[in-house]
Amino acid sequence: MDKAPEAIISDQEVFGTFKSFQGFVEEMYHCIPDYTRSIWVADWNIGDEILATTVDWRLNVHFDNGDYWYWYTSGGQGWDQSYFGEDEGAVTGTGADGWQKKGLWPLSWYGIRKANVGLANLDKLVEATQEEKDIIKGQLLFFRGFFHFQLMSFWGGLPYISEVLGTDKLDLPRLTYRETALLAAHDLDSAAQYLPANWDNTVAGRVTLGNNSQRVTKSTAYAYMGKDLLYAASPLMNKVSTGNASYDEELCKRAAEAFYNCLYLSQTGQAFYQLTEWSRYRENFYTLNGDIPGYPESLMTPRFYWNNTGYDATMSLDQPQVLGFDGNMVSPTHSYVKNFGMANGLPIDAEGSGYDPADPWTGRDPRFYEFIVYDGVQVIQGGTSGDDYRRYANLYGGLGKTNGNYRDDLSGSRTGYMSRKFFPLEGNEVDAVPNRLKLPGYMRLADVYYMYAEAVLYGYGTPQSSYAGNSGFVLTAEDAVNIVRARANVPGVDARYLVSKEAFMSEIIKERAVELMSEANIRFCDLRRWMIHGEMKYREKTALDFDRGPDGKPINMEERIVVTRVVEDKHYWFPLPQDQVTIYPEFGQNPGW
Amino acid sequence: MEKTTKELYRSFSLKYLKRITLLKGLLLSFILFSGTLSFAQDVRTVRGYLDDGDGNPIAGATIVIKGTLTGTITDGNGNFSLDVPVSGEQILTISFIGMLTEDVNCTGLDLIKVTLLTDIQQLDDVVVIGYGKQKKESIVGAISQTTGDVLERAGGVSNIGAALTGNIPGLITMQNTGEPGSEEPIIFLRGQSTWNYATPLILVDGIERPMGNIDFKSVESISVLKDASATAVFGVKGANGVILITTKRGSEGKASIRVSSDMTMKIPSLIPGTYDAYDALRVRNMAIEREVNIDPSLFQAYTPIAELDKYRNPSSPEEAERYPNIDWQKESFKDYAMSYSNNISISGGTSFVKYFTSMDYLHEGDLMNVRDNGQGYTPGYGYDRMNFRSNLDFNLTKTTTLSTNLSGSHGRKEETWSGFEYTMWQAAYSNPPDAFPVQYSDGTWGYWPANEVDVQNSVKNVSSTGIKNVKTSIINTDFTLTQDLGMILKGLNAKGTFAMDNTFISEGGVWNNYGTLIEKWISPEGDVYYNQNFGAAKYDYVTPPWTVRPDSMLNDKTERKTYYQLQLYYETKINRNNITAMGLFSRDKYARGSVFPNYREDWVFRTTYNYDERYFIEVNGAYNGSEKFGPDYRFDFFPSVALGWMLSNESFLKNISWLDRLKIRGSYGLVGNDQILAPGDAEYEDYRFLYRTDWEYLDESSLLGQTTGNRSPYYWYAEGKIGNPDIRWETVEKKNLGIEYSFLYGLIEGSVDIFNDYTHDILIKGSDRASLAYLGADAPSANLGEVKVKGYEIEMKLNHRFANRLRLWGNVTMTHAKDEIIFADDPALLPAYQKKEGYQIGQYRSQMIGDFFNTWDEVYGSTEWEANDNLKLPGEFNILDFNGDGRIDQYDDAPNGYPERPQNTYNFSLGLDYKGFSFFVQFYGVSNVTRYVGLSNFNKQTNVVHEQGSYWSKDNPDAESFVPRYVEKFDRYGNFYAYDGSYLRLKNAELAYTFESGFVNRIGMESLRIFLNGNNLLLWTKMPDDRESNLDNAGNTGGGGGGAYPTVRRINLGVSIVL
Repeated sequence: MDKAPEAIISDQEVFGTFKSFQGFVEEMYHCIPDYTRSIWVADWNIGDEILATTVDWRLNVHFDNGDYWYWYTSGGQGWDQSYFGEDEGAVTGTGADGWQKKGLWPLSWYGIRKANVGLANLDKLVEATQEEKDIIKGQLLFFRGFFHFQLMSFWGGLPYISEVLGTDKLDLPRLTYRETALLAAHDLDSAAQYLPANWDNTVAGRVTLGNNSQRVTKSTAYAYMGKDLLYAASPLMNKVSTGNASYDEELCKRAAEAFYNCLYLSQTGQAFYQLTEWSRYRENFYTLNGDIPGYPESLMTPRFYWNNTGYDATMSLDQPQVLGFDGNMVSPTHSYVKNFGMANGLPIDAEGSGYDPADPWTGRDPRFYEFIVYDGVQVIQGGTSGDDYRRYANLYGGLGKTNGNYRDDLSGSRTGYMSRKFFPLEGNEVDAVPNRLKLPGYMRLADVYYMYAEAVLYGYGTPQSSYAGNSGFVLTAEDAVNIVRARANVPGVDARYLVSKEAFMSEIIKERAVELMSEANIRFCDLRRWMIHGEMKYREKTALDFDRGPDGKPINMEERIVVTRVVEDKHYWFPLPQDQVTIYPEFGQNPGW
Repeated sequence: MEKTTKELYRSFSLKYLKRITLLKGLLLSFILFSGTLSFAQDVRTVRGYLDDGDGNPIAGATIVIKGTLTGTITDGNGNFSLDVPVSGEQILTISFIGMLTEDVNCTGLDLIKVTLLTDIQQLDDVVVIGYGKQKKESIVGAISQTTGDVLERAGGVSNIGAALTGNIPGLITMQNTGEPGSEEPIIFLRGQSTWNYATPLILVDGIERPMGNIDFKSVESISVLKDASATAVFGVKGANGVILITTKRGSEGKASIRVSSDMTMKIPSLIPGTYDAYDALRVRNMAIEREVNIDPSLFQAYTPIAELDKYRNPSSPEEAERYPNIDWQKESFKDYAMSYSNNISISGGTSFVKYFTSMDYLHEGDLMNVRDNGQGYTPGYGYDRMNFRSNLDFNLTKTTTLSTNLSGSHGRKEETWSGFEYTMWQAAYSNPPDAFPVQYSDGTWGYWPANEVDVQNSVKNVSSTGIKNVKTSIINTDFTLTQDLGMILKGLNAKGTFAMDNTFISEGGVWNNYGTLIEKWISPEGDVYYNQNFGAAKYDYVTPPWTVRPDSMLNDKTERKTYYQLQLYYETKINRNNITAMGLFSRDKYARGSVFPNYREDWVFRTTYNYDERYFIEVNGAYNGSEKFGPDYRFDFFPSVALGWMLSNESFLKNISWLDRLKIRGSYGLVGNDQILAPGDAEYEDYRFLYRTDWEYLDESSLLGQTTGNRSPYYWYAEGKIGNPDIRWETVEKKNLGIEYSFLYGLIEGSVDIFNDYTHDILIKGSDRASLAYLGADAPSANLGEVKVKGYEIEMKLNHRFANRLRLWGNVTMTHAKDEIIFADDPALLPAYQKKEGYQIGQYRSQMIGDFFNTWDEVYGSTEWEANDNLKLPGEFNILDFNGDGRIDQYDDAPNGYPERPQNTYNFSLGLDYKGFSFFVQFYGVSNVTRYVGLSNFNKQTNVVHEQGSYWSKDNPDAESFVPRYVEKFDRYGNFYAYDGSYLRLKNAELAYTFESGFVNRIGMESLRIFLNGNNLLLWTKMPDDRESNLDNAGNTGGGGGGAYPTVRRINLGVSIVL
């Protein structure tokens, strides 16, 4: 009655060779949710970026109402709108069949355990070269740090798990945010020592030559180390750890160094990561040629699973019913669109910006035209005259006004805008551009430049400061921001914003909002860590109500507050699941929940 | 006397031949039969007539010349004739079931009249028990038995589980669907004592087999074992009770042929009511009028009265398509569906062989409305089943019997190839009436572009997603050899059984690519939308042709089982000491699909002793093993002991003439349960070797860095479930105390049982334990749980025959069973009312509603909600701050009501027979049960509004319901949708007439019975639908209020002929 011996897999089979051990490691890459595909009609924006049609089941609608429990209770609607939780903690869906089942909370913990199991069995890896052993160890350490960081950024300080936990009673206390972050930084730092700068240049990586872009490298480890430290240094995290609601200078310096190391690898060509040139800018978010989007700029993307051309979640998310979609649309808020400055590099409210409130969509930052569809933009390129009724974005209308056919609170744009960041305009049912592969990642080089700038600014004091690295590569905070702006042909930050930390920071805040719009909840985390998400301008989500004038320009414009987000102190952090915080007192709930 | 002047038959075989018909010939061709011997020597004919003393002739009684194998049986009028040798002893042994056997000396008599006396004790005096039979009066365990005849009264029901409802005290059933071929209810015996697999063990002719595929016209008896004394012999499998099904066997006598045919009308039972488009939109307007307080832009969705009116009174057919008003229940379901069942059986035997053979054909029709899909095939739901059985007993020698049972069934369940089965009928519950018509006037199917996932054209789905035929073939074969070892020791016999069961399931039919057809929608404005219009293919979409998908075997669902058993049995009587002893060894090997086979091994004994039929003692035990556990826990011993005292056999009570029987019995013992999940559960294998931690190989290796899905060189490995070497079976300590009584010559009889089960070592699955996410895996499963069940059963039967032959009978039973969780590894810091501990398994919990907020003052003054507090409006329920902490949150979820499993079940049957006429009704009810039926209104902004009474308004503060929300919902309905799940049904009723003489005899029949019966005829309940559980048999919820195939009521017309 014993279990049949044929059914038992030995330790050696799993860990004996590089090939088998890498097979063990490989699953960890699949523990990272594609946040745009939690359900068919994706849902992930939980900051101030968008307004959904009037429905009650959206993740962002619940977050607007302050119901952060929805991160794990959203499954009650029959499917899970949230990529944070899944089945209340059940580890499911690392495989291709589980692409919609990935939850950040359960899979991060699962990945941490897996990393620890791998590290505990490293000695069984005998049939491998030193390089191969390093690659395995580097990945294990990276993922342990990375998953902890993922969790921390939403739930705050947690126990740092660095061994395979047994089945005895567990009673680890929650560490402060800073303690957790430092342990993660240590793992990420070690990982950087073991990981290759470019897999294609290693013997082990030759097996998968040409397909190594999504594998983690030295650069990824440094970038996440920097991000981890910068978060820990930020006002919110510093406050919950030390009581001091300003930046921690020391951690900023360490963060700056890590970012510098990452950028240096690209600068010297050791790593392949580069800012994608402007003409191919959109390939950061989607591709039409079958390639994985994001490269060579992305440092971390989730595994892409599905290239079904018939239905694209993001297209459906961002387009109105009149273009052939189900109308469960989200639209960028007018309050958020105001972050987009002018082509001359000035914010719209700056003196001399040239912003004309009566003609608001002329002369804006080039990225505005890349990301935002506004009233009158030609959407349908081909088709017949029968499609003329929907050829141009008829986004005019609003409360008490006559709606254009793109505008509707129930099945179209609610704000007067439409996002086109993640799909080509021709992705409507008439032009039907096929083979759209969409995959906004977790971190790309542009983000690293900004974070470097922020870390240098608060570590070393001025926009003109830089991390004192290799003499051949000097990068000031100002340069770092301007490099990304320059890619979009936006002039550098105006001199009046270089006079103080606060002035320069106000530009970083806007710049991040523009460049990183709707990516990986970067905005949601930023607003919290800067402790500004309670300010009214970030709470009030507005729509722009207007009629279309005879010359096609908007008239009778009125900014209308549609939703005022509920933000209290408890909304700095997600609540932990009730079944987690009722086991022993040291693993307590986040304040206010 | 007409009867006696009827034609006489020369011999049994002649008589047999004379009656043979083509039909009989066909049937006989597949049974083994040997004719009787006829005597060539000097014989004379003895004729006779048999009655029961009340003037009723006895048909089918056996008359045998004593000491020979020669004999005959009486015809329908009680007459017989038999050639008797003129020399030698001339004694006839006359016997009939339920009567006392009599020897009659017929020497010198040519015509005899015999009256057989009813054997009161004997009628139901043999009870099937685990691994044997026992006389009823010596039973000391809690066992209930019913017969196949009782099941047949359940009008038109086609599965045993449903037919058993109400007929066995202690048996609790929950019916949740009416889907043809899936109507097996959930069954509990004496409540639920574990949260794991709690279904009783079911054995058919002693072998573990599912009961869903048995036709119950082949069932002789069903015996339900409830206490430790009865179930301990099943060791590690008996904890949830045992149901023993025994099939019919032949008895010596002429071939008795029974043909029966039933025709059943199935009518959908109660389905939650919804409003039509006009009313739904009117309620939507009401909702919006309130909600604009929160979101002014909702006025966009307000429907002007002029437009509203178009839904109800469209001015033209064209307008009716733009403003549809569809009753999806009507569109989805037929008014009724028909089922048919036909059965023929032949039984009889000679001294060498006894036979019972039957064939049964069942067709369960389907309620779903199917429309012509224009594609040349007709899909739908349905179930057809063919059963056959041949049970043979050969007397190989005077002391050796060989029994062979060959049985099988072939079922064909017709369904569709839908990825999501429930979408096939969910429309009836959740499609908005105003969205789209089923088909437009040009024949195009309708669809709703606004939400294609939640709102599906289910009529189109049923009609055009192909045909899936799931064919299940089952072949069961058993051989049993019984040897009387009287030559070694009188009373000793040995028995060996070998059984082989195979199940094959295949799938095939018409494949229609999930029914991707052209669908359209005409918006109220008149715009036309198509679903298959993407891009260049906009106007030239061609529906892909359907193809025939050949049957393919579902290898992962095939089942194989081999079983063998050896048994020794000894019985003796020394003076007044009656002793029996039984020892048994069995092995079982079971495999499903390609899994490694499951093994079991059992060693069982039972000894019974009674002194003078007054004092009884029984000791049972099983020593058995299960591969589910590690070496340290693999085998264990499960003992039980029971005592009984038959007071009525004591001399001091023997003289009380009105007391027929009075017995007190009690039992105590241990039984186990090694089942965690139902066999066939998708996760079954995951819970098989819980004592081990193993590495797993994951068949997943798509190449990172590519989108094309090439294989990666790296195949995945992962850590499997964390094992726990101490995993063991769950153990139930069962106690039972019972009294059996019978008074006034059988007028009143019955029993009362009190039971108390204490289950410990209940396995808590790792995923259900209080475990920390940071462990990174499910905690190991552990045997930590404890549950107690207490309850009682009361049964009383009345039976009286008046002098004018009118017989009245009645039967009242009641069962109460309530469990309590003693330990469930609850998180330590949970408040007591949120722990499972101290409450029943499945206790309903929720926030609780208070009064309505009638004014804004009351809204502002109310307790703050933790989230969404900004959404409160007057007309909503004030949610109770249960723990009084000043805010409404998940800590205000508290137990209220009961579980979904009733604590009490009641059954009341009443019947009367008069001459050929019989009538009976059976009422069945349950109480102390809560069922959540979440009728959601405007779910995802679809205009579905359920009828739930009057709505709150300022002028109607005592309304039955809140005004539904159109958008800003938050599910703060507390326990509003937790219905009192009590119900009372007219479960069964039957009106029948039996013709046993006159014309039926003239046309060659012995009897003809015509009956009209019904099942689930009337229902009284507060629930909005007629389902007894939201769970299906696999434990999935059928979508709360909707998503279930409706349950049905049945009206059945049948005829049964004995030839």
